[in-house]
Amino acid sequence: MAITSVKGSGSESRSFDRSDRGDRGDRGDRGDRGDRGDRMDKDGDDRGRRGGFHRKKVCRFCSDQDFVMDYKDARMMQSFVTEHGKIVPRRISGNCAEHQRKLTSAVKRARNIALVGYVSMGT
Amino acid sequence: MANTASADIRAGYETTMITRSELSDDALKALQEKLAGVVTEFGGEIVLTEDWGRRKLAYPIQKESRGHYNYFVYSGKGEIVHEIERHLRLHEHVLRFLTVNLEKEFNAENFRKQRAEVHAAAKRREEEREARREERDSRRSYHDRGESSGDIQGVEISEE
Repeated sequence: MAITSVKGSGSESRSFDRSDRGDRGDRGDRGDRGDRGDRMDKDGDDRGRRGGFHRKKVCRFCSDQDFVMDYKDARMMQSFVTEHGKIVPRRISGNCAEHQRKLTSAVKRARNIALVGYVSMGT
Repeated sequence: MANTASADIRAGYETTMITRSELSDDALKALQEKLAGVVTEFGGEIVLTEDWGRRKLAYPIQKESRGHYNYFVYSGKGEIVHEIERHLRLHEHVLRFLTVNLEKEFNAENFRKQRAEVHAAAKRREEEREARREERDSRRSYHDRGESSGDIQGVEISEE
């Protein structure tokens, strides 16, 4: 039991790494949004091979009432933005469609008042 | 609140403005009072004001890397927004501002309550984060001492 959970966490972090690279790597020719389903399958297969582990991602805004969407809360925003300033896609963050939509506009507002950057400043 | 006239359909607006950090407190206060005057002049009501203090900007605006944030919520008609934004645009020490229209059925009391809750939740989360960080640090120092086992995986498996 303990072993599978350890494995799971390992593969999860790896999938994170890979998708980050994928942004401008092998799939750079495609749009960020178009390849969602495709990638999802691949991810699932990968994890399937390593011991059939698949964790269902849940929307943090749905599961935690305390966690409110607010463009003024830079701390909250930070967890949904990569260090390059990109908005983390839904397939990675696990947000539901509604909250992802709201998050997008919230991040864009926060960018306007310099709480979140448009691009990374290399700091 | 007192004047509950029938034509009391007031929308709520929230404005965040960034002023130059070298703008003196007195000048800032003068600006705030001017804006408050505008709101009352147009028959609106200031619901709440917050001073977020000087913060580092995520990116420089007009060569400034720090700015003083001010946030205020008011209710009233749309003309107020025009007037306030006009003032902000004319003010040379205002770097940036953003006004957001809150929902149509705006209730000042509810909004204040909500905002207080948001602050409380943020504080709670901050405390949780602090606690977790401490826990992690203590665990890390524990691992540093027991260097032979390497990482978490090795330890957990050996425990079983």
